[in-house]
Amino acid sequence: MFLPNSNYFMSYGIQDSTLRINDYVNSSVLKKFNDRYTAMTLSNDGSLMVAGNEKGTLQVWDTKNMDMSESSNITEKQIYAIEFSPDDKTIAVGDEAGVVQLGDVVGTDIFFSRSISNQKSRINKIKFSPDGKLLATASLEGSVQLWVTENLDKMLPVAFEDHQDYVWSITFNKTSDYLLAGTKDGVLKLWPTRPELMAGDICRYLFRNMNKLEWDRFVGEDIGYINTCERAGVVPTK
Amino acid sequence: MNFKSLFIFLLTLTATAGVMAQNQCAQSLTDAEGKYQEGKLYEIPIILSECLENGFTKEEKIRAYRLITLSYLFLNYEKEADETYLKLLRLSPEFQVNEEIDPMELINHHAKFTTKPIFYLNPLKIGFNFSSVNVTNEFSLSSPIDTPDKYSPQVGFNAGFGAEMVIYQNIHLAAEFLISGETFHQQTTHWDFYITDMDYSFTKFQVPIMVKYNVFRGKVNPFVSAGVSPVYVAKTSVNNLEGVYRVATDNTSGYEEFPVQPRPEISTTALRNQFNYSLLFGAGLNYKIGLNYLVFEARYSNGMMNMVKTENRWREDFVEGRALKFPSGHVDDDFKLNSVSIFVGFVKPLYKPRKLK
Repeated sequence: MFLPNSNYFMSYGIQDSTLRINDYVNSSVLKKFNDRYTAMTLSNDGSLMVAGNEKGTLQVWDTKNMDMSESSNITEKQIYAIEFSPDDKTIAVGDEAGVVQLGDVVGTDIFFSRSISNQKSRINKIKFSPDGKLLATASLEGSVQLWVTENLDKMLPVAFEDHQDYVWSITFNKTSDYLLAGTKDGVLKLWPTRPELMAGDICRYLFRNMNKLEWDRFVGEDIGYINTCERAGVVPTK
Repeated sequence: MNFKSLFIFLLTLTATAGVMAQNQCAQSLTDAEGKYQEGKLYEIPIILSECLENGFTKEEKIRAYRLITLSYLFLNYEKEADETYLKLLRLSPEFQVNEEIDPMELINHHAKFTTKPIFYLNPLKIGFNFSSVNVTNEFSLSSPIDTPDKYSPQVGFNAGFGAEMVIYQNIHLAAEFLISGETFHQQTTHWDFYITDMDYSFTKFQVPIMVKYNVFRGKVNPFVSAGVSPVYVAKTSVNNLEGVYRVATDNTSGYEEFPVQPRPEISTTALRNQFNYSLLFGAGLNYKIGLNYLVFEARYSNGMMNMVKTENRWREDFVEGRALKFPSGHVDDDFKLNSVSIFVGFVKPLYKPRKLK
């Protein structure tokens, strides 16, 4: 975890429960914990450090003095992923059961009010897109789900399930157009995040618009049919 | 229900219960593998724990320990992963990861361990030997008109046990305890007319200490060895002593032979040095059978000290000395005893699964 605008980064060793602060040359112990934390992150402005443990407890520290400001038991399952939104106003916490809880960050207080649950195994990584409009959750069941942050309650996520193994890590590109997912079997997959880009990708392989039957099957009967390649601005070559 | 029917009923019930338990455990392993695929790692050790205590076959246990190790690795429980993997290696000391399909985490974890034995037991080795004599000084009652004694090897036996310890990589220090019976034949001609034949026999206890260099390469593993062995000569004798007088006759045939009375066994222990030592040079191969080895070995033993107690050579004031000299006229040459031995043995490696430092 890099501290904002500095060459320092913090690292946490799960075997010795020790938080260290490092630069490129030196490393020193910042804090030794009694708990075994399974997830830890810094807010983007570096003011808060949040960690979750195997008992489902979330703990918040003010990094100015490293005093614990809050500790709350938010789930009965082990916490494995924590992520702040780019504006630090929202925090997402993922657990062993595949549930992601979303909380509003006010000062050093966090108020959890919503949860999303569409994956059945450990949420191993959560990422907000740089523009804050998308939220991606990676699970050990081999799936990545992409949520629109403004419509978490109303829209089902886009699911990327074509992974053969646990999804260990995900990240967005700077423009939020693509999501990169790394799996345990050593495979990296690049997923477009916008429908236009997805359609464009399909056109590169299909060389034509999807027909209605294909649309119903692969996109959904309840979603209005559009000419995919025309919409993507890609002219079929065959 | 009579006793016989009750017995058959209970036997059937027990067998059925056993089969059911095994089926349940096979199912629990399948369930655990499913949980692993789903990423529900915390559940795996719980699902498998009961059947690991009782119910799994050896192969199922290996699969279960592998699965639990992987689970602990992905849960960052390093100590538990180590302990579980050690259980796996104790069960299957030659377990190998499959670099094509196993996760890198398991491949890297495996590289932190070794099962290489530190000790090897050799509970039994048996074989036979051929002894030869290195005469250093000749002696005879009829000297100097004797012809040189003729010595020829005979087959003896070896039996014993031993152990080996790894001292550095493929270099082992081996110690053995051997009992061996060695024998050779001697023919002597005295004064050109009196021929004696006899078998020398030695019962020896040896403690060979050897350094072995092994080449482990799979099924057939050659080795060479060299060392030294203290020798205690527990018992020696001269057996089957026979003599023939050749008396010149008048006719042209030349000789007429008159046998002397044969002597089946004369103890010669008092005439021998009981403590000796020999240099050893050997080569052989370990043939792998399962986790153990069948050993074939050839060994040359070079006796370093005179076998004859020189101060007793000419003494006649005790029974053994007189019995040899009269009527056969025998006097010991100074000699050292060498032998070539062929062994077959069984070696059990004591695998020691451990984490490398």
